[in-house]
Amino acid sequence: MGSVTSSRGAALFGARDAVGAAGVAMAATFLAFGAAVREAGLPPGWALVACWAIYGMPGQLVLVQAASTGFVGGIAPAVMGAIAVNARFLPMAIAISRNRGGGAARLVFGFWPDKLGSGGACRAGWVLRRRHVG
Amino acid sequence: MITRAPRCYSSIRFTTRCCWRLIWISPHRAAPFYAVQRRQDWFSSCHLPWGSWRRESLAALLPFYGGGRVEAADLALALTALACLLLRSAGVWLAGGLGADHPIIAWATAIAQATLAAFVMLAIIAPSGALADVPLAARLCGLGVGVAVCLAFGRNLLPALVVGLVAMLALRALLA
Repeated sequence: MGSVTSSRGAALFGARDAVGAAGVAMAATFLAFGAAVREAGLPPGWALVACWAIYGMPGQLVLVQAASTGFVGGIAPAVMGAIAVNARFLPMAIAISRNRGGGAARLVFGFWPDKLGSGGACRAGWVLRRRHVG
Repeated sequence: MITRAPRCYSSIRFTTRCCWRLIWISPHRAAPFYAVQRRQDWFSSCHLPWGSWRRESLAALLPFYGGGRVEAADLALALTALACLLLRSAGVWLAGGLGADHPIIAWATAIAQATLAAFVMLAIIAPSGALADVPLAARLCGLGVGVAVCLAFGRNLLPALVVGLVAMLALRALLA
């Protein structure tokens, strides 16, 4: 697990790490999701909010599929299905956030540079730990 | 002489226009009335039920503007996002009281990896959408080539992704 000593280095490290296979795969996934949203007749803003607020493609696809059918079974089954396929967020959050501070900030920003200004290391925790968790 | 019919005879613009001729208010003194009228025109054109280009452009900026089906989708999206946020928050809260080598941490990591592996295998064995048109042999060939390239290049994912995709497409073309 690499470490850098400044916030700028951490940003460059995260950007370099993001432009890789994971970035290509996620770009393809989001393109497919956008096409599915357009086919379902939902606005682009809905897709953007879903990607930002849910950030779990299986759950997003469950919602889009339910929306394309007009929520014939109601909203509750669609929401329950989306939550069920995204239930991995609970163990993922446990595995990612072990022994690390700034939980609320990490929930918002995705990573949290720890011990900045105290001579310690600064790590893009989400990017690095995602490799261990998936 | 009024060359264009006013939209509303009770408007400030029409009143001031008449006052110019009856009482003679200078354009300089009437300027504030025109400013008020322009502001009223803008807001009324935004909120009138028949709308205008301003209302349409504002509506285009609203992400949730639409019919009842979109409103249901909005509600489903809000509930799902809230539930996912609660799941993540619960994970962070639980992890705060556990050590790095706690068995629950190892269990949670294993569950997360197994869940993602299950999604990947489901996408390969029983995919939906455009990938379902690709033969199973081509999908398995792409997976195998991708894993082999990943191991051969020091677990570098980008060449593995590209070569695996090319292998899958090539075998699909051959089988077709």
